[in-house]
Amino acid sequence: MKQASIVALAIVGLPAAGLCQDPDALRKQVDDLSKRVEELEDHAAKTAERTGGRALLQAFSADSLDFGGHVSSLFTYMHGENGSDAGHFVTLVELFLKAQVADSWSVFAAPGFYLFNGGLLDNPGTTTITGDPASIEDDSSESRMFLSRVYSQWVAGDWLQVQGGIVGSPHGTTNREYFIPARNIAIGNLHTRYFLANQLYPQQLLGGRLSGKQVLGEGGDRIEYDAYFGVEDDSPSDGIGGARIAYVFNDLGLAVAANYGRGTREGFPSQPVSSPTPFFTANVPVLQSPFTGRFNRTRDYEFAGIDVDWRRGDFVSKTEAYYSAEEDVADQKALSTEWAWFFASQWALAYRFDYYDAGADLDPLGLGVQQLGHATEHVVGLSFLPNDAVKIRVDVHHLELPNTRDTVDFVNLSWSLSF
Amino acid sequence: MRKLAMLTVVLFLCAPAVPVAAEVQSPQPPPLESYAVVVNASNPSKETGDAAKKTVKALFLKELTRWADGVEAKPYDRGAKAPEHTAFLQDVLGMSPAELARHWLRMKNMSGVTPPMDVDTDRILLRHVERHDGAFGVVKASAAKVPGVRVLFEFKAAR
Repeated sequence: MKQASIVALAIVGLPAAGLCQDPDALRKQVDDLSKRVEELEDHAAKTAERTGGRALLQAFSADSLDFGGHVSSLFTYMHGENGSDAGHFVTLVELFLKAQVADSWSVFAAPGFYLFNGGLLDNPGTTTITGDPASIEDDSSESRMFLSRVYSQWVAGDWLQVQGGIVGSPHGTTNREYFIPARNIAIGNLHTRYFLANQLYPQQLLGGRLSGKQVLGEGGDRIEYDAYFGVEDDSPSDGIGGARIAYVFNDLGLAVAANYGRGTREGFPSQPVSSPTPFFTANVPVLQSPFTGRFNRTRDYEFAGIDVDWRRGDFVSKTEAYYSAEEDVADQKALSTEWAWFFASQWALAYRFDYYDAGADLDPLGLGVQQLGHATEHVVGLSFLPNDAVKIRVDVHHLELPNTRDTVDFVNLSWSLSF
Repeated sequence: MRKLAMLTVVLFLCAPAVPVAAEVQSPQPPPLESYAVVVNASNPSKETGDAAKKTVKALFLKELTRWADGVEAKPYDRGAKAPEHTAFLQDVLGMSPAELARHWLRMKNMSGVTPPMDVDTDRILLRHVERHDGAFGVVKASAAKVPGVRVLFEFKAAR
């Protein structure tokens, strides 16, 4: 009976003891709980705003799915001989899909859509005719779909990542960044100007790529490497391969890389000399390059080069220099240096100088070897970034054509919206 | 007359004390808020000082993806306007908001890498860090002492 009384007292007394707690402490607990409830309500409201009443995306068996992309458009105005003008308009849409399918496995794909409309510059068909090129009205329209990146990736760690599929080559500075929204000047440097082509080094390939990095010491300096082997989509019987090794000075924001590669560049199919319209002519400005994206003559090549990427606060500098030994024809040489200054949080000023000697090639009719010569280009660009997703650029180009002293001036207005 | 002289002396002696008292009473700047970079309690990282900051910076910016023991890093960010984010940006990353935005634009377009997920509150961030071995993020130092989480290093907000 005595024991039961004690239990009863305890039952009655415990809540009473709680009630007798310091009121300030109780108030603090209540305030704390109220704050937590408010936080959870805010969080729930934010989540609801993002999803609305829609069903959430299901990613089949993937652990996560990232979806993004960009829309980039470029309008060009070119001033030609005798006051002739031409313009063209290019729009590019690329979607990014990345699915994490397991801890170390992911898939990345970037299907793209390309649309070109406008007139072209008409340069003299041979390099011996002087005079600035005239612009003609050559209404042309072209659209295509392409896959610039489709690969599966296995990650062993920072020291080893393996990609297989359609992968980018690791060479160069602009080429490494590839997707246009990252660029301060919309179009690539002269030796990578042709979209996904292999002018001096391949921009992409079908095959495998190994990448990795290793931190050295507490300073954070690291060594990065890339190696690849594969083929190009239009010449599956010709292997290409290469490698890049870089040293990154962490505190300086400086990366210095050495590059090497070799392979075969497939030429255009042979054609009869009597053909009224050769498959491709050489040394004619097509779009914004004085060179073609592909050579007439098939040749083996072996290239080496260095690239330097320096990012320090509001300054970005990218420089690359490459030399390619071409079988049986003159060698190729390229230099590109770009300097950008983000002089305000939303504005950047950029300058780029390109030099590209494309070596030599069979002439369009296959009758002999033609020196393609070298071109140089100065570009001054202004970028405006109204927010993190939008970049608007105006670039002024002064292009000196090969084998003559003729020049082309043009202005590119471009914008990229990425999401 | 003697009283007047004494009063004058007293006033003279007291006069300098008035501005001093005013100075003492003037509002002092608030103390600098302390923040902590927190990791999962199982994280074996022993780095301190600048070395720890450099590691956290590389992992947050996704230039590296693994802690030294091989565990995949899982960084969390705070909202762009959160004081934790601002302090982390200044003291640990040493970057401006525009520079950080350019970094993520470049990373996304080079390799499909996305920025860390934003987390609204200290408590939710701590919950994420507690749940994932490689997770880390920044919270107010006063909020950091919870089970399953440990402080890798603390820093103060720059003025």
